[in-house]
Amino acid sequence: MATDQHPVEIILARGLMSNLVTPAFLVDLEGTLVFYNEAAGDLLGMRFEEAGPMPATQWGTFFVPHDESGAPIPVPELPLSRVLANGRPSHRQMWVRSTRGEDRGLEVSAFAIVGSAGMRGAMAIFWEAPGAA
Amino acid sequence: MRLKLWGVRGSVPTPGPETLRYGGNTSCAQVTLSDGTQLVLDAGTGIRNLTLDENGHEPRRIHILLTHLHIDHIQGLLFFSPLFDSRMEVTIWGPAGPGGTLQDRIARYLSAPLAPVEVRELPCQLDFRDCPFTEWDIGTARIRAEAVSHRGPTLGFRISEPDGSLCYIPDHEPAFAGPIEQLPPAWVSGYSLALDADLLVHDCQYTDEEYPRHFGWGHSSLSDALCFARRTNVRRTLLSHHDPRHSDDELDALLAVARARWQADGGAPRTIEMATELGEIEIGSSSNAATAAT
Repeated sequence: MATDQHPVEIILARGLMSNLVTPAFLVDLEGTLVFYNEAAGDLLGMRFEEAGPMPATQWGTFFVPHDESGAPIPVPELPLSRVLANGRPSHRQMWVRSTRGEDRGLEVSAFAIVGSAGMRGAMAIFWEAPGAA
Repeated sequence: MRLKLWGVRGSVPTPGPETLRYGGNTSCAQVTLSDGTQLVLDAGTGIRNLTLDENGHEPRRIHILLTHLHIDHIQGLLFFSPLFDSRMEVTIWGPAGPGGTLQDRIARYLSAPLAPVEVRELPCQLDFRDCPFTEWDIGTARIRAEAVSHRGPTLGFRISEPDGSLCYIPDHEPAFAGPIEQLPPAWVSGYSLALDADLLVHDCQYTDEEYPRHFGWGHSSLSDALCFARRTNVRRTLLSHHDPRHSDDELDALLAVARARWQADGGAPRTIEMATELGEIEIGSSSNAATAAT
């Protein structure tokens, strides 16, 4: 019997995100990026269908998250990582580099997805910061 | 194990001449395990007619497994005679959820002003338990409960004995997360629960024409129910949770369409059936297949 099925809370979160025009990321409990939506794909220059699932060590650097000065943001300090580490919502401003080489300024809000069985993963929503791109 | 269906109607009871053949009682199924242990799946109005002593042997212990607490799945509790028998031990299993313990949540129905009896007044030896998030054993069966896509905390059940398995998901909208046909298995709600089951009892509340007007209501169209059954490779499927507006004749027509489509996809048409009140099925015969008894 297959045992790698996503919990229904994650499945439903993906369904929600698929219908949003706001860019959004979805990670499982291990921090694996299991989905991002079409709007996030437009932002990053690569559709999820092309990128596929990635562990945190990969997605946390793949899109080159950095601060205003250009300094890389360590993976544990990314909002999604902070949510998974302590279960609390997290928000910060950051920049990412698309596959087209463009730096995009973002406000990122991340929060835990918690079901009856406890935390099942987390999602992050991105807003482009006006004038920060 | 043996399955007997006591209620297969969705949403609300539908007594009347147009629903006599498939039945008008809401969800309830009785599973008799190979050691005689009695499981009752959901407590819709069908539970009122459920008889435990058909073979002259009346069990003293019953397990009621609730998929969720929508009224059509618990309405019959107040009319289930074992709850009023002090000799009976009844365990009610259900989904954990916000809003208090399972007993607290059920007591919203079994209390004034909705009911004349409070839970604490029931004479039986009553026990409430949240379904574990891991498999557990009842009698000779291994039980697995898994949250599935519906409105509010809702479970599907898989009941397995060494020679057969039943998957019961009467309220389920796997297509809410996206087209089932295109989703990888890991993203299909209920997939691992149903995979390779000998018998699947699954939601099929709507025709394909009706479904778009009810998208997000937590139930499946015919096409989605068939797609789910095909993708999970179940041996036999009972389409259930019939829409209260569907007459027997309409369900006959829906079954004809279902079988034609199933056959067109390479399946044996008789492995698709409409769930019928009082229908009985033996699961796990020597041929390891679900076989109709009546």
